[in-house]
Amino acid sequence: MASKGSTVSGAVTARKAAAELRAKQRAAARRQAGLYGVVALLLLGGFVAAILVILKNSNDASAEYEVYDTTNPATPSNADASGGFLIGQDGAVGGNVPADAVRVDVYEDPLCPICHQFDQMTEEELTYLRENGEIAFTYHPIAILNRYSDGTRYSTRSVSALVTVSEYDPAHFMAFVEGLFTNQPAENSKGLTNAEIADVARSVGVSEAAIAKISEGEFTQWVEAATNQSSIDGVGGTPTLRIGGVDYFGWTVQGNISGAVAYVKEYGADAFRAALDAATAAAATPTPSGSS
Amino acid sequence: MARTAAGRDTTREASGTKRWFGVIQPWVSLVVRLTASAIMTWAGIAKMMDPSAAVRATRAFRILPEALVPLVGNVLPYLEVAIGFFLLIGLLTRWVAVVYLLMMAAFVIGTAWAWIRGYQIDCGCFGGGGDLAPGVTADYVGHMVERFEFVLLGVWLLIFPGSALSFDRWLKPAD
Repeated sequence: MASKGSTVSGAVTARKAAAELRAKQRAAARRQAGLYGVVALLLLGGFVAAILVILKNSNDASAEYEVYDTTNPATPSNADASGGFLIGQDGAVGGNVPADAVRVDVYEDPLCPICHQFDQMTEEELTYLRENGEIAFTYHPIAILNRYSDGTRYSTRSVSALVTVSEYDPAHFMAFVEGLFTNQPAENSKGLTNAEIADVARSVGVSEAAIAKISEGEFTQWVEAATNQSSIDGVGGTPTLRIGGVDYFGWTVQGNISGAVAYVKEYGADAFRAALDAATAAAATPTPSGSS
Repeated sequence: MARTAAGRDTTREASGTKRWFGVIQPWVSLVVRLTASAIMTWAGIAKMMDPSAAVRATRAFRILPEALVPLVGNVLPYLEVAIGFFLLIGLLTRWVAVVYLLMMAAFVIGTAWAWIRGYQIDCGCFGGGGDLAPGVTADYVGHMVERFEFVLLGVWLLIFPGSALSFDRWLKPAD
């Protein structure tokens, strides 16, 4: 190709100039990439910092709502592997029940409004069945509603207090459960303060010794584990009522629980589940009308 | 220049619309990008506020084997927040849109599954989740409409990933 400087030295100079230009361009590109990298890292840092600030502020750290927790977590001596507390015929945790009593599990969160309704509707019937040795009433307090107490984790605090009382004043455990429902705070409020929880315990006769133990937070980590266990055991929400291990929703009608317990006692839990499935299937099938 | 029977200059009109769209599109993509970013980031943060609740919400769908539930429940918020960040700065937007749509597809399948099986659950998309209280029915139609709107955002970004004020643009101005 003929060009203006087309001698050998001219071609070499041109190549050198081109190489220098390319090197300059590469250096400029590297500098630019470095600049973008720095900007991106700064943005990332800001982003992560903003998230951490939001997460930190979502928890209420004031003393009256402190979540008591210990570095030496303990397992309550009256709880079974599923996180349930067996209530004996005398109403105390860990009491005795007859061997042929039907197992009844109740899972509740102290903040759950429907649990309060469940309690009001079924307490009499369940107490009667328990006192007469018909059922092995096993109570599972779980903390699934922490997001509804405005960052104070009321569910965890109240359940931890309940479990502490199960350990140090088992006779007043169910009374404390009732007391917390009677004084149930609204969802999306801050819930009861720790002092108010202690006052509720006091008002139902829990001993001062047991109340003093609440602030040690011995069982808070167990509460977390028991709540997770309930989820693994298929408990999706509260209240959950299980008769003979079978989920039962018919508690809104008085007497249904007694009927279900009698059925399980006579025919066993598997037959009970089959009967419930059949009833659900029948209810789902539309009844054909007379005219077509 | 082409002329219609009416004698109007259609070529110039067509390119006028196209030009208008070419000017508007990067800004529409910017708005879509930032909206999707806000949704993803907030969804992730809400789950991070109560990680064990996020795991329980994942379990409530009863679609994943138990071995995967804690993994998905714990990792999902970080994935959402990461997608939110990339969308915020507009980097690798088309790729991120693909990941976003895959995630949306999973949520749609999960919600449809729960709907078909008759579970009454709260999806836990923005924290919380699990079975609803007895007597409360899940608003599956509302959920699906919401999912569909989110999917639309992702599809737009897939087709028109070039947005204003984005790292993609700054790194490759010729695009």
